[in-house]
Amino acid sequence: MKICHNVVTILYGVNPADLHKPDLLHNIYIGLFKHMMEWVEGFLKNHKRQQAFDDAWKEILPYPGFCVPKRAYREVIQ
Amino acid sequence: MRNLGRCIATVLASALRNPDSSQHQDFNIALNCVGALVDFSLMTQYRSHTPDTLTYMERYLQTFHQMKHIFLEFRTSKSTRAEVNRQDRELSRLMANLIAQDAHHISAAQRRRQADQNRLQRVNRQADLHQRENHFNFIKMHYLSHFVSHVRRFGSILMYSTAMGELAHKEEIKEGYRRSNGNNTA
Repeated sequence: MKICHNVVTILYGVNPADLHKPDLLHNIYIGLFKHMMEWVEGFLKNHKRQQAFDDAWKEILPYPGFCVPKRAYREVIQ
Repeated sequence: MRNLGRCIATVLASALRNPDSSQHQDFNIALNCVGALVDFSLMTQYRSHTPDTLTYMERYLQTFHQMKHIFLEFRTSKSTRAEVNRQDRELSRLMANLIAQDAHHISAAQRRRQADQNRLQRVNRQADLHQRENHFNFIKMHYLSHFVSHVRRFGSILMYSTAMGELAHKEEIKEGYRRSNGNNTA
């Protein structure tokens, strides 16, 4: 198993559960970005630009460290 | 979703190209708003900060808050939507009753005009309710305002992210469990 060096694992006598942490994963990536996508979709729908958005979404070219989306955002169901 | 942060601004810009003269301003505001939020989220991922980068973070957040009003109409919560629909149904039933009562002593044209008026009234009322009920007061939105002070006090935000722990649940922890006999695991 890989050992992750994180401030939580280094400090002595610290219980990770007690720390107040701004959590990027839950706050930004799957929190605000998700809200933002809802607004953006509503906005695109109002202005009838959804198709253009989907096309642009599918045509992103790959570059290192970036995983290319194969399907449009609307088509992905989670 | 992290991928999304990397490409959303460009994709949106490409989707909103060639706007009409009436859409021009709205599109600009929306693009700036999304761009500011993405910039902010990118800056929160920095491993080290200087006073300058913190000022940038504050400025992006400020820009976002100035521009976010463009998305206000899409901030309708489920309960608000249900409430609006309920009131709308009641209103339409009331209006239908009124029209039915007057039906025998007004002409067809008058009735049609009345129905049009009622429809307009209903739409206005809905817009009004949405205007009144929609807001941006939720906790994740408020939390952004503490990020800068958090960096000053505790250091870079990235190292407090739970992404690493959750990533371990994808492979590493499962691997260990599969090799075990399943007794006393937790």
